[in-house]
Amino acid sequence: MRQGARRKFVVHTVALALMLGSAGAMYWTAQAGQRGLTIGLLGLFALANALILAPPQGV
Amino acid sequence: MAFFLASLPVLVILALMIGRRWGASRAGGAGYLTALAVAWGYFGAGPRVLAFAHAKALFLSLDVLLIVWAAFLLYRVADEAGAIEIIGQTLPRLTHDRGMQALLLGWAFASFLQGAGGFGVPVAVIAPLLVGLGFSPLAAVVIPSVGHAWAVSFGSLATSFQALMAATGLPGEVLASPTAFLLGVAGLAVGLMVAHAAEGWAAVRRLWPTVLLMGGAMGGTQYLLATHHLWNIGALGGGLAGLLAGVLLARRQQQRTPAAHQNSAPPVPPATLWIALSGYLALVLITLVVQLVAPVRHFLEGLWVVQWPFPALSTARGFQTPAGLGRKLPVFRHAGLVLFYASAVAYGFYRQAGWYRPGAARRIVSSTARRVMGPSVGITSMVAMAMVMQHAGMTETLAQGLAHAVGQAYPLFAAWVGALGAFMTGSNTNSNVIFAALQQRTANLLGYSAAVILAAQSAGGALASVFAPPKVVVGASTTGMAGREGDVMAALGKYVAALVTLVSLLTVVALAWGVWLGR
Repeated sequence: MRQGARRKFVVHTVALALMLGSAGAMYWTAQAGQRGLTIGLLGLFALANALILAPPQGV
Repeated sequence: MAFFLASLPVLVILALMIGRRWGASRAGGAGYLTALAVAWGYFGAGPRVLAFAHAKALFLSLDVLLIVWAAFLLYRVADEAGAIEIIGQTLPRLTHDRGMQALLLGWAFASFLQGAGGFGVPVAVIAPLLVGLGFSPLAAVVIPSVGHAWAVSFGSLATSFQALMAATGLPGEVLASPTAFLLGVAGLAVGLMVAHAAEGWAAVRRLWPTVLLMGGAMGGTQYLLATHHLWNIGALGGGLAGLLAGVLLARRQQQRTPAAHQNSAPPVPPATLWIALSGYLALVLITLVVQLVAPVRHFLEGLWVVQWPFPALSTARGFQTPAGLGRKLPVFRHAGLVLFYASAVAYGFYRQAGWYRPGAARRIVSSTARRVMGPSVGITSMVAMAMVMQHAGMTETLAQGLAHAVGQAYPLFAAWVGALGAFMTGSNTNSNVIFAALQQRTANLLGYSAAVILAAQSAGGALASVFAPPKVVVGASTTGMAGREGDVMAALGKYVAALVTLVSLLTVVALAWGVWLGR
């Protein structure tokens, strides 16, 4: 795999894992009324999307 | 102001994909972040509302992703064994009639590949084959692009249709009939267009009876499968039926052709062809067993079902979402797992036949992972965006505005909304995720059948997805037309516009007459 394609694959895999993991976790923190943790997990989901926005650079 | 802000996420995606040529995964991320900011900052969706919206998006995403991953895995299992190439090489030997070759390869086989794989596979596989047969590079791209368009919604093991169900909460039993009807009729038009793209109006005049017979077999098979809970093999079955009908018609045509004009290339041995098809036959058999044999269905469903309850939610502005159950995932009976079972069986067949080179398993898994990760990210971002917009009341705001602006003429626009979504995102699936809830809500507000409007959404999205820039780039690159994508789009544009217009008119007729097949 070329360097750029490998970087793209890693970024996408990390982003997907962060999105799916944080979305599942925030169900439980919202159920438990833990506002701070919930906001933190929402931030993590947003961060995952921000990761994808990085310029291509061969990606 | 509210309408503009509610539409901002979609406008951002549109501007980035068309104006800045961003890919769907990046644009989806930008659309999601825009939706999050607007939902929180203007529409009063607090952390609790947003958290549960994201959790719902998790299940909706997984529902689609499991199919996406396994569908491409099965395609790679067959492709690595050379099965796709063997199937593709067999067909041209049946006839020397170029129009008939276009129908067999660019329509029936393309539909079969769309049913089995999707993701641009039909064009990437078939365009080079057509070039090898002497078609011009432009015709070689246009023919399979148009030819597989009608099969997109029920293709890729019905990924797009699955997304339509996930985004609306409506069951397949309600959506399948109108969707399959619209696409079946569009499929006939697609066949005529393939003939036209191959050899102009002369081919249309010569081959319209063949188109009617093949199209009837394909559309009818897809309709029957879709309306009997077998929508995940709708396009696959339709494509197979088209291949069978086309082969029989081509043979009949050959028998009437003087021997001097017949194709003299050596045929593929029948045993080889059956082995090549075995992977997909295994899929059809496993799907039928899992869906139709009640003890098997109940056993698999009883092993592990995941479904979370969600509480009632309210934004600071008073928009309410009632309590209810989230998307149900019957893990071992899920269409994605069925595909995985078929992949494992197919791998066994091809390995037993000695069709794999060393290292095949590693190549299959790594290429699948590389290929699906980008689309997976895009799908997840856009599903999350759609759920945030829905729970913040943004979708409702858009629906109210659309209903007010367009009014009773809305059915004429429903297919075009789906087409716009597919053009923007390059995918019927993404278009359904983004716009299905909006279309459903607008239909309810205007008193139209939501199922018919949603069928128009999916049909319009399917037909226009082939015109999306990313798809055009893939097709152009396989025939040496890189840099001439504009020529491809110009050629494709008139066919796609005619097809979406046809679906718009059919939608109006269906609603006006209360025609409802299956009810």
